[in-house]
Amino acid sequence: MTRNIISVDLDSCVGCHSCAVVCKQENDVNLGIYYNKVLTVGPTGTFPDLEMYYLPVACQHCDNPQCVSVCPTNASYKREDGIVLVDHSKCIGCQYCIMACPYGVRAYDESPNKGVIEKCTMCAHLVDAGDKPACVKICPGQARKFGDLEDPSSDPAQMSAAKNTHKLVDVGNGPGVEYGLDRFTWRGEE
Amino acid sequence: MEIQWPLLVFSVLLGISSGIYVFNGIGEVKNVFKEVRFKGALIALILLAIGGCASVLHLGHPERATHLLANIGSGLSMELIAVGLLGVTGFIYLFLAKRANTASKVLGVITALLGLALPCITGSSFMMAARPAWDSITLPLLYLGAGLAAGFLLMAALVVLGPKGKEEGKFALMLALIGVLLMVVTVIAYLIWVAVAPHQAPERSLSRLVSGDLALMFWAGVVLIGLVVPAGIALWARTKIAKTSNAEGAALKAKGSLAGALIIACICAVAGSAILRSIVYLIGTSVEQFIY
Repeated sequence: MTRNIISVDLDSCVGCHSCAVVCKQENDVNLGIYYNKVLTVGPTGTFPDLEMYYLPVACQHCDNPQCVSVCPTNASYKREDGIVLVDHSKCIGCQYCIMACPYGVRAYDESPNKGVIEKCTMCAHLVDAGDKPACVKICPGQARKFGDLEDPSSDPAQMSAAKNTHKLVDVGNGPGVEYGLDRFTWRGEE
Repeated sequence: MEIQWPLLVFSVLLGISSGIYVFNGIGEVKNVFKEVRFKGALIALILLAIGGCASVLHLGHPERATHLLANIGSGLSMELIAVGLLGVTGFIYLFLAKRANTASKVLGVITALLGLALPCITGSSFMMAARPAWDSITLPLLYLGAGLAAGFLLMAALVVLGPKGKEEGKFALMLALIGVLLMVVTVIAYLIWVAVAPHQAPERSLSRLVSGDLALMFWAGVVLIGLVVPAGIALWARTKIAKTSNAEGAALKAKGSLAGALIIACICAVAGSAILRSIVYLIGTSVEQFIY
């Protein structure tokens, strides 16, 4: 079964925020709303053994998305290819899914013509047209990898095989995004 | 997370409503409180309706409510069903409350059981692994305890003011005291959970309540106003009515002050539970608060 995901090679991420910017452009995201943010982890350690890396965070397109199970209208749903989306025509803006998300990656857009929940769509509109998500295409360090994790020849699968990978803390939701990190110590809770 | 005021108002009002229904249900089973059941049922239904309307203010698109039962397993859907059931049965009970027959007893017990269930369903809809400070059975119990305390105190005031204040006041105040004690126990249980919850972090720690930025809200709002005052008044009232109910004239004089004190206790219990619910929101941070 296809399992589309965006994995991130943190050893290649330079923290330029291009992914965050292009995401806003591609998806016409309103002011104050973020689908993707690039966090700075560190500096940690004691000079001269200092470490710092960048952590791009967006929807993890979880294997067992809690946002989907709590949604009273089934507006939040997981596609067969693994992408978690929100059907805005059904979303009542109850924000229950925001509460259920362990990572705070969903947002309630309260602008007059919205009143619904917004989040990373993995650029499903581009993926469906055979293209890659905008953040993957723009990344100057080629740190972002898009593909079917079940396909050994895909970029995410190859990164997973070649590097130490980590995921965000799992509270039963099964985050999908893998972060490759060999150069530094992963500082997240696992 | 930010305090969701419409949901807070909804949960507090439905709690009081539930407490009233449970009180009435006990009265139906014990064949007491007949004179106040209708008033109580009316107040409960009005509070439930106002709370329901408040919750709608939280939605971005309430007109899409037709989709609301698409996922019955969702906590929100279960909440909606429970509110609907209590609303319908509560409305029917209004017509039976004064009759004191089998039908009123049956409906009284049904609304009481729904009254016990509804705060638990509402509280459990917030139980989610993503927010460790909420992910415990102590949260729905907190909702239940607060509702019973407020509802019982209000109804006890009505009983004391009613024609059978002397005969039924002792029992009513015993129930009020039990309600307040349940509130105290459930608050303590929740605080214990906050202290031992997994994924401890400063923004959702007990120390934030006890000595941090939420200390004033906690000690003044929750402990003093929300627990100590109602408990003190309930104890005092129970003692007072036990002394005066045997004396012919004294019970009549005590009515006004007793009822007034009980109303104050109810208001304090409601205020305290609202403040505690605000705190619950503020410490309800997600396991990893990345973007928001």
